[in-house]
Amino acid sequence: MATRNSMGTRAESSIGPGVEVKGHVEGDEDLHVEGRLEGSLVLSGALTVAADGLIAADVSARSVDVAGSIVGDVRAAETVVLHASAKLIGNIFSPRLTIAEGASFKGQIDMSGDVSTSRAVAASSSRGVSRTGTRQVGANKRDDRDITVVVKHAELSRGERPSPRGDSTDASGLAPKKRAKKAVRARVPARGKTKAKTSRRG
Amino acid sequence: MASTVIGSSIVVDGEIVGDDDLLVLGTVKGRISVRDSVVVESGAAVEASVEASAITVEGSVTGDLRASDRADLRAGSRVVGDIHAPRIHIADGASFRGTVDMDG
Repeated sequence: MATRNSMGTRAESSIGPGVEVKGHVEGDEDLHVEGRLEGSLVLSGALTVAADGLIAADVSARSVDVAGSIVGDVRAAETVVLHASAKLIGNIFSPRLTIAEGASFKGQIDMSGDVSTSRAVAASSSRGVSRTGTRQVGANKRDDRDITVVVKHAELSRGERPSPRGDSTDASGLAPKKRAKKAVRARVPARGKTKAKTSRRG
Repeated sequence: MASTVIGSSIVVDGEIVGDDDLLVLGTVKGRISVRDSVVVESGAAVEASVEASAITVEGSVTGDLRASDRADLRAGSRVVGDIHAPRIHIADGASFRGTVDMDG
């Protein structure tokens, strides 16, 4: 297919299985990924991720067809398809979506096609989600609480670490930023004699 | 037949590292390091250092070429950079500026 004809602008672009591309990739054609891509990707054509392909990047394309893994937000102008072997950790913004049984997915779905909203969500959450996402690539599917946990992590600002598992039992899904603030103990008002003895803690 | 193809409208700003053959029809800025062969087609623009076993250029490359086997500059190619290769072929019509070191 990709033979050397200089007229052949129709040659399909692909990243082969033994190849890793790190950086920003942009193009006006289709791209087939069987290797690794890290960074960011903006295509006006169709993106296909083969079963052993891995993309650690925010992706924007006309359509996205995933049989491999993507860690990052996926934006499609037309459609996103996750096949049974697909693993996606990140948010999906697409007017049409297909998730096949067996696919593994963790993130938000926005099918409204509202560009401004999707960009705002992406700006606030992409760092949080994709950072925690990469750590959790190996995690197996658990119960629905996982989605809540992901949203909560999206609230963290850059550099903050999400708290370990214990936090999922918190009542509110949107916990305020954790600070190393020790519990404020009621200051014992000085009571005459005890004043000198009272030792301050804290 | 290369398994990795950077199409004519694709711009890669970063590095490409791998084992497979690479065919560049588009634009690559950064670094290319491939175990097998790299072919830069006419019309392609590479602003990167290129490291491979065999490098064939018909397009434009600005950057050093390091080939462990051979470097081939075809007619119509424009290369600005140093070439390190044990075997080298520069065709009539190629445009080249740089040094050639065949000791590597």
